[in-house]
Amino acid sequence: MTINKMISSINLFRELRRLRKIGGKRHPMYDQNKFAKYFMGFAVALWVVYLIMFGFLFIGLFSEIFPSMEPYHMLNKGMLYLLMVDFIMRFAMTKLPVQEIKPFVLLPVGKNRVLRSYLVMTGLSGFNLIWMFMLVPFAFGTLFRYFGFVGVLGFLVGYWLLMLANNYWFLFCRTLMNQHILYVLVPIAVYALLLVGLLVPETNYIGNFCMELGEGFFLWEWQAYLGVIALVYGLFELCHALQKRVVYKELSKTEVVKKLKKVSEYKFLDRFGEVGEYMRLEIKLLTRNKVPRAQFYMGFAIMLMFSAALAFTDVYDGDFMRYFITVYNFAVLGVLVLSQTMSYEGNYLDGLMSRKESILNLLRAKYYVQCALLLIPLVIMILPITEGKISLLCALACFFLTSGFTFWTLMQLAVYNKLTINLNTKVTGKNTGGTFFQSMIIMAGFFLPVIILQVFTSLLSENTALLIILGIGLAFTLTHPLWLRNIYKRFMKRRYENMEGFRSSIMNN
Amino acid sequence: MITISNLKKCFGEKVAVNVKDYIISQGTMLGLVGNNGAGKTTLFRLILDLLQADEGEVHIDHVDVSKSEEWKQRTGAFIDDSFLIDYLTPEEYFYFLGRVFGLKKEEIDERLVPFTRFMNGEVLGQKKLIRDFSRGNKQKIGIIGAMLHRPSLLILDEPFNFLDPSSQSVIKHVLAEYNRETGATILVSSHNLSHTTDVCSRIALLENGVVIRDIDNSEHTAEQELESYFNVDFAEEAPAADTPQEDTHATEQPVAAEMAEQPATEQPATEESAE
Repeated sequence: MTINKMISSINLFRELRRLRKIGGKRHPMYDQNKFAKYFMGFAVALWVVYLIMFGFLFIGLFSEIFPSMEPYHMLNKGMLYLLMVDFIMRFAMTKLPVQEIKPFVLLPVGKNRVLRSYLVMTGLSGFNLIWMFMLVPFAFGTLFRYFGFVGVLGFLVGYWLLMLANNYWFLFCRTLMNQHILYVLVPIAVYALLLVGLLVPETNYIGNFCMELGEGFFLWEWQAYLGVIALVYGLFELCHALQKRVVYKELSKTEVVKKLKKVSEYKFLDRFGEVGEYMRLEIKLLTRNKVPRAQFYMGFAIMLMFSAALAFTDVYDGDFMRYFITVYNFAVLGVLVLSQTMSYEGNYLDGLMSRKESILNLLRAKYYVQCALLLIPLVIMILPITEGKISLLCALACFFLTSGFTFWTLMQLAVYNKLTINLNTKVTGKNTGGTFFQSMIIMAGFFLPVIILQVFTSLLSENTALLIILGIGLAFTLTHPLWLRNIYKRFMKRRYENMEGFRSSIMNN
Repeated sequence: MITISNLKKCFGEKVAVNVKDYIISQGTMLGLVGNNGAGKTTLFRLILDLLQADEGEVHIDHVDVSKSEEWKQRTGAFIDDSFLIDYLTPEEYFYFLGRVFGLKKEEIDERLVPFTRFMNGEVLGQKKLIRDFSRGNKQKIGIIGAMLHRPSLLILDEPFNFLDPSSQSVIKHVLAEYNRETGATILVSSHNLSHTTDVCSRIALLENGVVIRDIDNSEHTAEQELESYFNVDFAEEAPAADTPQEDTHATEQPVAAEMAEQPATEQPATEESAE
């Protein structure tokens, strides 16, 4: 690369970053996000405190359990576990960054350079540094006395490079999974193989390799760095190649228009009149559009996985986790869909708004479809019920707590969401920014029921507590016509502001 | 009947719509014309309560559109793709709309018949989702969707856009026929002066959000007046940059003469005019 090219790449990178920042500030939900960011900031601060605590805790814990080895050797040996946790955390805490490439397609700017710039941006994200809150105290507590500051620095740089590699590995998997949910098997297969390598004691080559790699970091061995840098570069290029393919596919819309083999009419919904029409619409929204469909499948897969884990393993035997998984199983599908209430409809909101009370009927339809979908986790829950892991009363209490309280919480977003989500584009498009406000409501939807469960079960006998929760859930469920109308009225009061937001964020398909 | 009173909408410093008093009586076919940014679509959105007015009100049949939803039952509109539910097939979309307005499947099928020529065999029975149709066919689906429940007020923004010449001709005929048969009020905006003046009995010319001319087109005489408004005379501007000064002077003469010869068909700005 010549000096000129390098300078223009840096300029392009700076320009794209500036555009992204402006995009964030002019985001239709900027005010809500700003408000929610304070709360999220508080949650992150708590997480940071936990990480610092873990950093100190691991020093003592490793010394006690493995007295013959230094704690840093043990951490290095388990580095893959750390990377796996990081990988899973990224699903919950980061979004697949969109490639805002459309405005540059016809400009004399190398499209590859735009793509690369966005990828570099993700590498420089602060999220890749979050583990430092754990690693810094750990390194100072264990390495400093032997290898000094230089050793600590080497250790931290090495781990940052590993997080960087994980960042691109995650992006690669996430991009694949957005194409088809079955690609979830790629990371599962990779981690399964790695786990086998780690857990088979006689051939723990992987564990030993990791230990040596970590040692290479704090000893500043060039081979260790070269290897990890090569890995980062390889994954970056892999990610780039994949995103390039996907971006061009989306831009050129090369997919052949498929004619529908069968046009489903869902005639059984006729009996519900106008609401039935909107229910039909909701089902088609979920089944005919890539983004909601992928979310639906993912929610379903997670639900199945946790139910099986709850039924057949002892991993989630603690009270908190048991309740959390039960609540999560019921809520996950609703959370994925209802948290986007109106954002999907933003694509055709003007049409809906020019019809009388269509939004009220839409909200009703969404609620009824989600309630019907709750039967799926109820059926899946038969597994842990028959295994005696949870009681039928617990399952019913969670069912109604979800159909009542959780859905009530999530559907409040219908009033505040004002960002159109494109139903089918995934990688290209405009940066829609983080929706912290949504995250906050989602967290409330997930955790408040668990907290309610915990509080009642700790104060009362389990059955009494579950009966009270069942009562709360039923009360919210039975009063749904009232609170749905209330949401509708509040939506109508904010309609101009919301419509403006939906309109300004709408993307061209 | 639509009554607009002191309606004002600004986007920042820019005044998008500023209409003092304007009445469109039932059965009128009104064409809204104006350059880009004149405020045509904004005015439509304000009439349809899709935007909040900074000042003033719009009443449809004496109902304030921002206070009640009753008028929606009698109104049909198509402004852009955001009116289309694009993951439905055209049939599903029409049935959805029809049922929302209380029509039965058979009635919907029956109401689609008059549009057969307009659809030209490219819309129904394709087993394709709306998002997979061409822009022109999407436009047709939107227009038909707006007319399906036979509204007494029909609002179409740029209905001739994306349509092939034959379809443009057909939709003109369909709209005129619909107006004649049902006595519906039809509001159409367009950049196509010829089509607008062909079908509309009244033309409102918008400039910077203000109705600067309200032209009676019952005798089909508005086109000439509109042409004179919209025609930018390049001869007046070009020589200043490209030709010597004396040539400029030479070319200005005929233009001035042409201007003087224009028929005085213009009415004064008729913002406050009412039928």
